[in-house]
Amino acid sequence: MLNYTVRRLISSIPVLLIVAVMVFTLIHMIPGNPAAVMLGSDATQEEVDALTQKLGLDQPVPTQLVRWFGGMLRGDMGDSIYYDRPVTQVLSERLEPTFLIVAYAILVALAIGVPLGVLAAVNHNGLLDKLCMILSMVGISCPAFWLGLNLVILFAVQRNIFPSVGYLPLAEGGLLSALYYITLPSFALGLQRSASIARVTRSSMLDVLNNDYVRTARAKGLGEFRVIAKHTLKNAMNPILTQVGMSLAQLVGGAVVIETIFNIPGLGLLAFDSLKRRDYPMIQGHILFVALAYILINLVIDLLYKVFDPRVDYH
Amino acid sequence: MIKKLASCWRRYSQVILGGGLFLLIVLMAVFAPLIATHDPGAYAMREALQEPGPAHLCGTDAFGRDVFSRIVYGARISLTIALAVLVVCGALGTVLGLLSGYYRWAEATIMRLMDGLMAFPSILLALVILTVFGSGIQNIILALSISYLPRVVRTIRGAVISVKEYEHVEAARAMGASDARIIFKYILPLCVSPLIIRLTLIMALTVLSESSLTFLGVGLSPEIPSWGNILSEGRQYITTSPYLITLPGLAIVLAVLSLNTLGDGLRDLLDPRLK
Amino acid sequence: MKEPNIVLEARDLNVDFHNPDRTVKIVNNVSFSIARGETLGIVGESGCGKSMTSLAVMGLVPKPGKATGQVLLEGTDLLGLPGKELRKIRGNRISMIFQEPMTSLNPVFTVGDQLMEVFRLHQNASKAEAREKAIEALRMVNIAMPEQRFGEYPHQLSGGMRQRVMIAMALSCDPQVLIADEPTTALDVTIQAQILELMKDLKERLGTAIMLITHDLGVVSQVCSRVVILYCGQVIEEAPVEEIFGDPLHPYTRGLLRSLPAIGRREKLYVIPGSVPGARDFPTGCVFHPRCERACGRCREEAPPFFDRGGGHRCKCWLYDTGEGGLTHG
Repeated sequence: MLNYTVRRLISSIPVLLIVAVMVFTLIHMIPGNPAAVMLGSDATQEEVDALTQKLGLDQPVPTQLVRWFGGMLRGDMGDSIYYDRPVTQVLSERLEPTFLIVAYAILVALAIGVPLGVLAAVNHNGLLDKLCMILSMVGISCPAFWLGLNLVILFAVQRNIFPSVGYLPLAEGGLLSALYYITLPSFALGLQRSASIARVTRSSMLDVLNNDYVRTARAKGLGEFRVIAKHTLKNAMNPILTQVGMSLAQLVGGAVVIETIFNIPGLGLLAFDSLKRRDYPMIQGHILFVALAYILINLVIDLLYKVFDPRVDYH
Repeated sequence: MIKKLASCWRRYSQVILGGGLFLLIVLMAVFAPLIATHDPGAYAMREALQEPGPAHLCGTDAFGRDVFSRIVYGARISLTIALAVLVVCGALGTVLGLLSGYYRWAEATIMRLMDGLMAFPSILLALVILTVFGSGIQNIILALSISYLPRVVRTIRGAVISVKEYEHVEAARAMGASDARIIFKYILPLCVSPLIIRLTLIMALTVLSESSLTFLGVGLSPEIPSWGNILSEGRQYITTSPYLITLPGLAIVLAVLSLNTLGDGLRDLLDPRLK
Repeated sequence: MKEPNIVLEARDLNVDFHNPDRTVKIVNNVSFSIARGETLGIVGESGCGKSMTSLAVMGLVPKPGKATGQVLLEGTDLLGLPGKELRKIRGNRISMIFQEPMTSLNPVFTVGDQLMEVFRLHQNASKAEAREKAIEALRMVNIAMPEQRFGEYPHQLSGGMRQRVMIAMALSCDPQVLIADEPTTALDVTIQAQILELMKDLKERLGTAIMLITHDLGVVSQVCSRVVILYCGQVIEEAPVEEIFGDPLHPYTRGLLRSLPAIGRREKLYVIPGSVPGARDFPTGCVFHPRCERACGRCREEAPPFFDRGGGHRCKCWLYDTGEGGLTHG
């Protein structure tokens, strides 16, 4: 398994390289001198030149690329122009709320999606099944930001239960109050994700329910609840896990919209602001970080398959 | 007869419901001037922020513009963009997918590139592209087409790889047919149904993402009455006029729902393996 | 012919599948009984309803099927029992092993876990007790190194070993009746013999009655004492095993026996003409008449009742109509 992990990590290097080159090229396709754009229209020529030099933008593009790579290999993603601090440092400061939102959202999604999917599968073609499927189809079709706004209307405007904006870091208020602040955004993301998890759970459960060992479990005299909860759910877990992985990857990047709406100082808001500020090193760093997270999430999910299915063999 | 109708309904219900709803939305967009009750751009400050009622079905916004009419016209923009992404993404994706599925030399390059694109969450990728190239209808089409390109390429490539092994393709090759002939005559037709399914679902995603991007203020400029802009303008009045959020959003949900239902129904119908 | 030591009896067992369009009868008025310690063979080609019969006895007919009639386990009608009561009996007093040992064990739990479940469920055993008993059960079915096997997953075992585990699981609560649905069909011939030997051996030791479902007359001749022949969801002949092989009555039974290969015989094997009809289009009259070489007009029109030939041998075929009227029962 260690072998497999190492092999997977090595094989993900090309993808990271491609992402890096893509980001780099994209940033360099911006018309005009990025330094001038960053400094705004009232900067003097000297200031622009100074920044151009500082960013190494006076060098030929391939040289810049090589330099940037060299930096990255040493864990140095450059300095943020706006914050004037290392990109990695800013990123790590902004990680906490995003991490919490993504985790909270995925828990909400699982807590709603899995029971709904199981219920639908057990009542296959019945009324409950149809209802669950319609509900999840509607859920998939809702923009997360709109769900978020509606939650704000319901729980922040009409009833003052949850805050509609802002965030209180762990260090200041502890876990509970941090979670309190991110409840609405997490539910907005989680509700939307629960829909796809419910659909995957249903189809995976339907596959499993037809297996002989489910009949064996019933023949043993197990009650229907135990048959479902023990003898099918674990078997049905892996497709759900795949869906969780995809959701996590989308959430890490998709946090942009929800963090902007709820004004939560996470990675998403950072990316959005950096784009507006033309803080290119920051954006490059953020995107690489997200790509890295994507690769790591996929790896962890692949390793988790073994937990649910002992037959999985990593070769 | 009734039994036959019933079994017909069971088979096609999703396609009929989804397709029907989508058709209604298309008709609404095409005949927007006939359906809209007011001029979507007409300011009437005296009627600002009126709740939904008989005079204004979905109320009025802060400038007194009729929200219902703006939603009706907004369908034109969302559908145009969705259709354009369908064409661009579909055409480009099909070509790349055919190449990467058929030729080994193309596979490595194209698929690596697609892997790279996949490592970006699509909304983030679109956001970056829009920042680089600026907002506007063409750029949002470009940005979303690039974001969804890997999905189309993978779909087509998957289909090509399985079709390539079919006997009639082998036979054509044995008879000395040229690659181009094999691809267009024998392989492409069999990729059509997975492509249709995929593109329907991509249209749904496009409507979703376009509204999100516009809502963020990077998609379309504020004067365009798109659904995302209506929501974005209404957001300031969330405490006093929540209908400015809820109702235009429902339009998005219905449009996306119709496409998702249609795509799902088509998948069940055309590709029973995936059921 | 109700005997005092009958453990399991099916009376007029029917299984119907209700579709919106029509109802399909998979099992049609099947009756049989099994005495304590007896092995009853239920024989038929695939699609004749033998698996559905066994599932009906267990109360496990899948939706949208429905079983009606009576299944009496020592006098209690299982079909009338509420789910909770039935579950206490399943796996405890009546248990079942299936055809596919590959797929009948849950791949994501260890062998031990699945065995312990039965003891925990039916005998209220503590974890430690259940573990003891599970290892004991593995030992009973001659699995070497039971402690080690206990912690292994089904995919780590061979097919024969898995079927042994299934048997251990089924016999763990000392059931009165064991239903074995094609228990050896999926196994290699040598393993087959071992498993049959094991079942025979355990039956004698534990006194379990066995209902053996099979299409293989060879297996029947080795382990069964009585045989029921099923065709199109109906019992068409029932007899002690010697009579079935020595004096088969029904043309279908004869056909089955003639199609058996025998060592030393080199002529072409007999094949019953035609094929088993699907459950949607069972023939009217005698269900076998379209394939029967001796069918007459009456066979097409009227379904034959049972004709009793004495010695527990009865048969549904007009050929044996002695004029005094058959037993219409069952």
